[in-house]
Amino acid sequence: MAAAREQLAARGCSVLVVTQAQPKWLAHYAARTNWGVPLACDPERRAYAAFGLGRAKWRTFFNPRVLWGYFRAMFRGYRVRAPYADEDLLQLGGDFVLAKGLRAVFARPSVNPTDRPTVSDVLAALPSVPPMGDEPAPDAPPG
Amino acid sequence: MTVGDTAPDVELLLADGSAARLSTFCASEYLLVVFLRHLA
Repeated sequence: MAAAREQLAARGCSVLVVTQAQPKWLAHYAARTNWGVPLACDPERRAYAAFGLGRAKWRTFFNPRVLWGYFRAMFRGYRVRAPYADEDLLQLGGDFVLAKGLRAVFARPSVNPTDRPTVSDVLAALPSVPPMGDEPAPDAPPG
Repeated sequence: MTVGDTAPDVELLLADGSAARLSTFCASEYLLVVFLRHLA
């Protein structure tokens, strides 16, 4: 996580993590973990809906691709835990890179519970050099 | 939400219960917003 954060920061990209937990559970979680990035929550899932993030179907969890995704994640240390109260287990996530003015230059709504982009996928959407002042990087996404 | 769209400046909550607009987190040139499935 720290390495990914540094790679993104070097390209002028900060990170915000959004969860659907209640603020008290976010505080509980933040007290025992250190993501090193801002954490926010959206317990009514209005932001999730506004970004077009849908819900999975139960049968999706038995899709071989999804099972394989969980297996790979668990091999890397991920442990399946019960969600906090009021969290929707079927809610899908997503990853978006926003430029100034909240314009999306990368959008990857998850199509299944294990569908997430790699750090390389995200970096590919960013200019190769950090911006300098008001001058955009030569290979910055069109504005 | 697809590439090129303008994201809504949604209201989010912080751990202390206070509210903050998405735009207030845009301190850098770019902001990666990661929506988790669930927190645990």
